[in-house]
Amino acid sequence: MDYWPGVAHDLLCLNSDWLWEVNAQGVLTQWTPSAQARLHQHEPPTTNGQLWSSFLRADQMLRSGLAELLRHVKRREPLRCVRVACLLPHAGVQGWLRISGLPFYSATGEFLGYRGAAVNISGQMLSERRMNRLAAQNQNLLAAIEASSTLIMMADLGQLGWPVVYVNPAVQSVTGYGIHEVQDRGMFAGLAEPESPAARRLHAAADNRLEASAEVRWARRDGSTFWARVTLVPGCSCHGHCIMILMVRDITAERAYEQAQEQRTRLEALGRVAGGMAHEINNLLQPAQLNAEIMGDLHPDDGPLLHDITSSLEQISFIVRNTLQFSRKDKGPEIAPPVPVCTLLTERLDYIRALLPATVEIVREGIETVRGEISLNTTELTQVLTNLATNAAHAMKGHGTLMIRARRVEVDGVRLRPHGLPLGTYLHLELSDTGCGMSEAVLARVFEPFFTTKPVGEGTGLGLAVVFGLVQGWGGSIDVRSAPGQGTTFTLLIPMVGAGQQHGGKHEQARSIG
Amino acid sequence: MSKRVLLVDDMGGIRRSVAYLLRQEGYEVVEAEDGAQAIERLKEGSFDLVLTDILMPHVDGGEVINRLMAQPQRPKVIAMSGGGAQSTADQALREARDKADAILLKPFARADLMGLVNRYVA
Repeated sequence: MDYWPGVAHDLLCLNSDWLWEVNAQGVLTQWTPSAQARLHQHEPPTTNGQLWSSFLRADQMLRSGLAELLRHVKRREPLRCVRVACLLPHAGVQGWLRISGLPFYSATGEFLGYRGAAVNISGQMLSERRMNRLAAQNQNLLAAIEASSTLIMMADLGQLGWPVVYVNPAVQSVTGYGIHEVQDRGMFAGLAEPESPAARRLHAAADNRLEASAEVRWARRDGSTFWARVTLVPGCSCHGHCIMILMVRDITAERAYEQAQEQRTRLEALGRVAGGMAHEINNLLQPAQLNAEIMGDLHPDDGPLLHDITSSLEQISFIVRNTLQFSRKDKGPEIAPPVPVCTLLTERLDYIRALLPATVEIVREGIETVRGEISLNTTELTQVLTNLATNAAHAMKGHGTLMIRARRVEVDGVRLRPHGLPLGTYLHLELSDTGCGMSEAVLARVFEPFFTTKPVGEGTGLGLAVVFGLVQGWGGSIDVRSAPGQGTTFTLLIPMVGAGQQHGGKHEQARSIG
Repeated sequence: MSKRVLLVDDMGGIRRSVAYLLRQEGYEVVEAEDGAQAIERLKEGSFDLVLTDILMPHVDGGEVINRLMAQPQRPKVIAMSGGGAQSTADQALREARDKADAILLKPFARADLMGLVNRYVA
């Protein structure tokens, strides 16, 4: 009998669990040296006599820990692995214990207290907490990736054939390919021109596990393609495999915006040249014009010859005037009184209707219902609409549908601001034809003065240049979309007369110019 | 007594043709090659009409018009302009347009010129 208490004491001292006993009042009466050492380190064991609840803590991480323990104790129930936060006095930090224990009673059945074991689970709890935090972070990251409009795919380069191991929902919503199809087809299957230099560069980067970025055309399931910026970023999977992250961003809108900006810059430069030339030419035409008339007086017999001179001069003057209109950046001297958009457009379109062959159908949408007023030189508006409509009719070879849509839009700076237009209310006018369309090369130059696809003698190449200049003069913008065989759409934004705002209008009085 | 016109333009060809037509109609025409000369001529005598180009070397037409506007009794002013999109030309044209009695845009025909001149001076 002497043997066991001695051995038990030794074993208790070796045990890493802390064995404890509290009396009926909850005062710690006994615990093993290891527990003393852990709780107090080198301090003398002063804990005896302390209420055990005084170093247990409520903790938000263990929502029910302390409460659960107290509830069990109140009912004299056994404690089975109850996790409770506690103060670790030696370190001055919070730790966690997993406590098990049983109530014990006297021979007469009187409740004497609890005894049991406690395990320090601080390390485990801390790592659990880190894991939870990481998991939450990962969940947020995943949510961001899944919500992203950028196509994100991940391929395992450590396996044969580089299987795709992840695709985000944007892949399906943008391209129409489901995850299994992408997995079957591989991460580069979207490259619409796999032999293009940019595509080859991407392949080479993946082969060499390198980062890369390129602008390529990316294919959708329906056969259409879009301009995309593809970025490759190599990484490492949790299995130690090399993975490749492929991100595909639709940059169609950005490219269109950049191209429009470029075109605008080029046209402005051309406009300056044209304006300068027009000024010089007008001055030089002046004596020629008057002298031709004077010569007509002096030599009435040479009438027909002189008439050729004056009619040539008139044509030159006409071209110069148009070129000036293209290059002009401000409004004309007259400020037109504001008129309702619907009235003005209806009236102008009736005029255009009469101008085009009957075989061209004009479909109007929103013209009668668009609200707001506009202050434009009617002649200029007619010129713009006529030029666009006759071009459309020409592109449709006299047969087809010209769709004209009008609506009111707010340029609010939230979305892309086309051409850096001032914020405000604009008339969004769209003219779409079902004609032959234009190639990208033609499209890029379509507003340039003297650029024409018509045979020599049929077009001056000034029509759209003039349209461009006039729309700019109104403080608006014009854009064009087209593809061969898919018709052409011109989109105009024209400032409306908004409540209390004036779009770059000038306050000049209409004056007689003779 | 015939009406006096001061004709200001840096291009000899324009001065010669315009002056020819004006003289033919009985106007007395004094020519100036630029704004500085025009200001000199204006000091020397009085005029019923000043017909001036806008963009000229040294002193431009805008300056001539400004000086004229400061006078209590001034001749009528018709500005002639070749237009153009250079910002200075645009600016000058706008200013001249605001101040001059009328604008003639080059190239103008004889009828345009005589119609306007007769209207302002007759």
